[in-house]
Amino acid sequence: MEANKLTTWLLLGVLAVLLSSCAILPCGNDTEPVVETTDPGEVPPPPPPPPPPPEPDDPEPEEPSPFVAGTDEEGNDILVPTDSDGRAINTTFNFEFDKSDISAADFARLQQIAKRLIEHRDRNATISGHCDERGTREYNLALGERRAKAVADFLMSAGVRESQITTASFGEEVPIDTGSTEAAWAKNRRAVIDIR
Amino acid sequence: MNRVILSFLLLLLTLPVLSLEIVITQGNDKASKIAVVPFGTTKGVKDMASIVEFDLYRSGQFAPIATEDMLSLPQSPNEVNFRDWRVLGADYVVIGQIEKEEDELITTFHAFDVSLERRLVGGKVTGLTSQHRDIAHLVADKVFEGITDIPGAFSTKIMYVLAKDLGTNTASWHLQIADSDGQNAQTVLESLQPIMSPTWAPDGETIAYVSFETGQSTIVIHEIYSGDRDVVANFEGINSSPDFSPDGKSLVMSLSRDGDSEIYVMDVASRKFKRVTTNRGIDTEPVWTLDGEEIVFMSDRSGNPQIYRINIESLQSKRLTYQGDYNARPRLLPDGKHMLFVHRIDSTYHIVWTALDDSGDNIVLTKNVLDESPSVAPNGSMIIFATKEQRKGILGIVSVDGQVEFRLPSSEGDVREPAWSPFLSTTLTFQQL
Repeated sequence: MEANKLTTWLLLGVLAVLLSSCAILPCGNDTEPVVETTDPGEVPPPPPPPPPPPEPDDPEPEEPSPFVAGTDEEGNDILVPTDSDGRAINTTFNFEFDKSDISAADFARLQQIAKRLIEHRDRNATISGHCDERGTREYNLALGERRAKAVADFLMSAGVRESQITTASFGEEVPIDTGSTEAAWAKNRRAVIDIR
Repeated sequence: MNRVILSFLLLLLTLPVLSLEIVITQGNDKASKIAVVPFGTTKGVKDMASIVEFDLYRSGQFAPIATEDMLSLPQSPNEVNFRDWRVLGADYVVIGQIEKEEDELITTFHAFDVSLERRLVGGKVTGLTSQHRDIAHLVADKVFEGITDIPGAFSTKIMYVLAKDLGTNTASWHLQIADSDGQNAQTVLESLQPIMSPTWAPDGETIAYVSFETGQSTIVIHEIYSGDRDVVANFEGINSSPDFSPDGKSLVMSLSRDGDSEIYVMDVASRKFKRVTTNRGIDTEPVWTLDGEEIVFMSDRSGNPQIYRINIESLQSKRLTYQGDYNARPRLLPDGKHMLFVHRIDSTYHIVWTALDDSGDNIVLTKNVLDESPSVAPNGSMIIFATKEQRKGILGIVSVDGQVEFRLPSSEGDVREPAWSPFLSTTLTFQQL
């Protein structure tokens, strides 16, 4: 017993000497050269971060999540589709006054949403059509339906199943912006794809 | 009828009473001068002359004489001295007396023509003390009819949609019914989804509207007093724009269940549907003609919204509007020969009326920017509509000659889609004197 105790103390003593002489671990100021500067405001650059520890089996680069969590206009939970870089895609599409044609500039964005829905046949899309406040309410209810159906038709042409899509029109009843300016009207003329 | 009173009282007791305020924006210089003399009352009973006076004033046809200017304050016919009123330039004088017997008010009134020195009309109205305002409106109706030969519509009601917190995710919609002066508003339905297109059945006790409570538009028939509700159209696509036929047995509506929006007539009892229009394009906003044989509606089949009529048996249709590129939301005037609709002029929307047979020009009634949803009083004298002022939806009332205009804003939110009731049955008793 006495002999064992002595050996332990000896080993600890050797370790302490090794550590203090920087034989094993780097020792900061003791070994690094002092950087001489004339400008007192200049801060030396931080040391580069250590490289990540190598893993035994390098895996394939990870596929981005096809959807991220989001909320619809009413604050309910929905899934927001992502692009190939994993960024959330804006699922609101705007229209010209009294028109239901999808802008050519929106085709690529719709294609990406269609891709996610085709990859995930268990996901369903509700498309809501909306109008600005100009024109009669009942006419706008019909116009909102045209907008929702234009988006639905695009998605179905791209390969999304009809069974995955529901359309609804809210006419001018649910504005985002209650103002009567061109900017407010432009925001309110929209079709929104909500995926669940 | 007792059930009706009871239910109304119940509504009054259980729901907050919220009212619209009236703001007069334009008066009529050519109105007849009328003196509504303060009524004689007994202790503890409020006068109702001011309510009668305001009703007559807002018809657009009468300019009241201020009480301070009156030289005498007669309460019974033998106290009326025509010279006192001729001096003031009054065309008509109205006097009255209110007596209270237990919980009943007995109101007698008389209206005189000053230049003819003749009594035109008089009567006795009996009702509960709680019906104070209703009694005043009935007196105004009788005075209006005695002078103009047109039945008064002051005892009618207006239904409208109140939207609160629009543009936020706590938005709510409230279907309201108020007196024709915006007072005594009661909530018929509250929803966290939109309510649209409210309309009255000819019985004045049944209404229909579009509700989104399922997440889609559906058409609901609702009995006001029992609260019974029945979803009558919940098809795929939109279910929109209900209107009861003059006999109340059919409901016309716009449905997109077969593709785009088309007009259908539903038999209310059997729920059988008949498709009326067949074409590419939006067909919506249907209303019945007074004979119940035709439907007047809006269609964009020509490339832009225009108004058409179609016979529901022959299915022959005819275009009615040609002026401008946006004519929509027709409503017929009670004469059956004219219609009101929304007409766009240089990107602003106005309420206009014109002859149904396209024999005349449009008469522009309202001159705001976003006027819509016109509805006419059952006597054809006043039109209520919706417009927007300072970011808020408000109601406006305009006389059919365009001479007098009122605003009915709500302090609580946006009000829109007014629907004027038909003439309503009353629980008050009226006796001609």
